[in-house]
Amino acid sequence: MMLEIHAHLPHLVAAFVFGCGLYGVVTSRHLVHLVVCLGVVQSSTYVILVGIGHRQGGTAPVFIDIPPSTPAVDPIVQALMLTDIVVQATVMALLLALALQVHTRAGTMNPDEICRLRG
Amino acid sequence: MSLRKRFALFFFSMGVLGALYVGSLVDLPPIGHGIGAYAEMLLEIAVPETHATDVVAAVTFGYRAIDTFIEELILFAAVVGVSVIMRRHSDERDATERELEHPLMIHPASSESDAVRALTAALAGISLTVGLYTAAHGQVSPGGGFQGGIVLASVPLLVYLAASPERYLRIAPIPLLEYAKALGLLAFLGIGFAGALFGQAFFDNVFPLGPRPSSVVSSGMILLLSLATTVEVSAGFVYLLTSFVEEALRQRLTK
Repeated sequence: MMLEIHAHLPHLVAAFVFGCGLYGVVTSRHLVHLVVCLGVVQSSTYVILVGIGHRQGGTAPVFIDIPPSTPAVDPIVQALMLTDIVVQATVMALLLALALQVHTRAGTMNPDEICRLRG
Repeated sequence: MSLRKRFALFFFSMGVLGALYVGSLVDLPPIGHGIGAYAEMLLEIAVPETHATDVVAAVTFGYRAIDTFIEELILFAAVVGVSVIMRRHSDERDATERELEHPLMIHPASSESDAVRALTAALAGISLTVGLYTAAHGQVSPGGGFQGGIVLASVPLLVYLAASPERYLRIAPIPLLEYAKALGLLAFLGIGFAGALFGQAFFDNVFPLGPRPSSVVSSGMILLLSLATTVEVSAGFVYLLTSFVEEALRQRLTK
């Protein structure tokens, strides 16, 4: 059975974004770059959440000016995503603060060199 | 591990993972054809039951308020973590730094460019209005505590760019931020306990639902939780910004 690409496009895009971020994490030579790549990995979850909540012809789940029976997209995944974005921003701030501490203590931002100093 | 070995391991594991992933997609229903039963049910009952016309807000602060509370705990813990990590011990400060009251006070003018000052001064008022509007109307139209809180958090930073660090610290003093982020979380928890004490369960709505859906004072608990979140998120983010701006100025000073 062939995989229909257009029917699973959000799944594939999410996998691609995840792979790009993970590639950055694996090859990173700077802690700030590493934190940003981790952010890219996390953004793949936004693509997949919005993707699985989509419904053909569905509108936004806000019924202020449309009748309540209008077909709408999944509101649960959107609620998940919105809290996720805010939490990601604070967690990135925490990671950047840690990177700053590493720089003052170890004098380097390269993850490989930090391991070498310890080992 | 050498870079070549690392590449080999990465591409091998990504290949295996990718094959398994694509294989698992074959049996999944295609995107856009139907949503979960829970979502269908919420779309049907949310507006009459909660009087919130924005179902996303009804889910965030109503049906799944307990999840949002846990997310707020993560946010709170991350902000506390940053403050613990960024705080300098007294032996780390040098003599000149110890004499000065606060590193933000040292730097005379924040921005040398008139264009930046004019633009940020103009934007500060607009951002404040948009932030308050977004935070207060979350239950009616797209918006809510998280979005409004973020917009509001940008206001002190705009003031910092437009005016001076003194002004920044005057409108967003650090003790106030510390109290506000704790109070935001406590208010959220308190509304949850109000449901447990006077209603049937934790985060059960015991507040009046208001006259009709699409009215700003409707939706009871959802509006209150959204406002508590606004306080928590904006105070938390301004606190983070203060920590990083402080650090940047300190680095510039010691150079």
